Amino acid sequence: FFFLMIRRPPRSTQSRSSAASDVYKRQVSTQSTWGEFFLRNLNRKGRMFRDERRDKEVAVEEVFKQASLGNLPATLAPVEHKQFNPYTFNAGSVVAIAGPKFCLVAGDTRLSEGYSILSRNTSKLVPLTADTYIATSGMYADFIGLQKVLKARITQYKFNIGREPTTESTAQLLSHTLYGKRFFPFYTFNLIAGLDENGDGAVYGYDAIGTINRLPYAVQGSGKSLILPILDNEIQGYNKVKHTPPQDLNQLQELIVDVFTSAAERDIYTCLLYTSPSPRDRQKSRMPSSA
Amino acid sequence: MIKGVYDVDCGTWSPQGKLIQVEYAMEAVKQGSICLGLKSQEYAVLCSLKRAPSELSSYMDKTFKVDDHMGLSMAGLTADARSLCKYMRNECLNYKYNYEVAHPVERLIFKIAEKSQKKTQSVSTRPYGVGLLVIGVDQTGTHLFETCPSGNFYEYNAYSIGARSQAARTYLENHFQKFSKASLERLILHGLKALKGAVQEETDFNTRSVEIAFVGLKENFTTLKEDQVDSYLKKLAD
Repeated sequence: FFFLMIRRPPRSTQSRSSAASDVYKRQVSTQSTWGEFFLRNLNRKGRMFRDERRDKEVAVEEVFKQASLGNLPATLAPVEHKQFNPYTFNAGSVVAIAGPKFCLVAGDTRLSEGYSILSRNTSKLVPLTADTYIATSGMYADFIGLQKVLKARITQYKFNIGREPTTESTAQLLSHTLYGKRFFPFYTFNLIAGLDENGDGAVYGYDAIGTINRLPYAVQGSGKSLILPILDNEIQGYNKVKHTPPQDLNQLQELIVDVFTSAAERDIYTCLLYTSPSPRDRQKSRMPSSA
Repeated sequence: MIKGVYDVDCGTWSPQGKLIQVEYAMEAVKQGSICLGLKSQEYAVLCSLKRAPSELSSYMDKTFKVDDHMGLSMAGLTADARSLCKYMRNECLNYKYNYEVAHPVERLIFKIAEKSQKKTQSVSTRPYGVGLLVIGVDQTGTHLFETCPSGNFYEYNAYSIGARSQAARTYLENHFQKFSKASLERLILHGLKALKGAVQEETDFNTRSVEIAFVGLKENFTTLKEDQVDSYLKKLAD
């Protein structure tokens, strides 16, 4: 059973790795036969064992030792079936920026699978309370599941406590909801965007298993590595000799539109942010979270 | 009213063919303070009179929201009402989660009725001591239901339960034909008039003791705030 525990097929998803998906990374050893494996290990000891029983013991120890390092002879491993992969990557990119007395959150509306487009008009942004939004990239099915769980929990909160949860409480709720599935995670890369108790913008970033960080701005999704450096440069002023931070809401909105335009140029999963709906998208998507 | 040896538990019939414990439970409802409900084609309204246990305390709420499309008012043991309300809220959440639509009203009433009936057929538990008036909207329109400790439920155009509810019922019987096409405001005023008929001299009939709630085909269940209740009471006085 020990072998079976660490034996995993090679990964076939094309998404980036995260702590949660590391467990899928183990490879099968290239040693081809049991016999070769034994010979190789016995010879390393530098002598041939005459005692049959002893041979077996040593060989078995070696196998365990190699197995613990992740190396197994292919013949020892079970036949490699194409295993069901429960995860896929659907969603493009989302961005949130916190400001004094406001918070901006944006997401593109493209849903994809592999090289195909599933929908041009599906929202990644969902309001959870009057002053909190959740924005998610990752697997759409898990996004819907997560969103439904959160909404039900928030309704319960409203009945029990008598008011809506604060953005901070909602952020915590998301964190422990995600961790609750630590061993079969929601394949979602989330942002919480809202107003804190002082009325200032609050943005929280997460990984798939619920690590929570409050941030001045955050990006998630396939365009993250394209968008985040621009925001670092434009908002924080990193790597700039002379920096004028964005002055107001309008400048930040323009920045967000520009940033999505740039990402869309290179990332197939991210599309442009439309400032007005494209004529082709006139038919409203009936997906649960569409705007 | 004590019926001697046949009223000990729900496992015993009386010679008259009654379950006396259940009757006692229904008595608890009759002793609770009055609440009434009425509906039109577009709205359903609940009006209730709250009681304060003492001069020093606040008035106990009788109206609870169950979901955006449903709410209830009660007469009898408030704690039992809370317990049932919690169950109803949970059922509505689960239904919404699984089917993405609001829980049909009659289905939920049926679940309450089933729950209530179980308690009338056991020696070890007591029946619920509360009657609920539930208003809700769903695909079949507006609804007003009454639930009983006995496990029965009834649907009404207008009804009243609790102390001196007969007076309110008389008003509702005389006027219910006008309700079907009435506006929300008219409906609420009818409800308040019916409620007033059941109020004794010394009982408080003011902003703090009157509760009004409504739900509409296009409007979520809402309990009116104090200033709104106040304006209706003023209109009533005119």
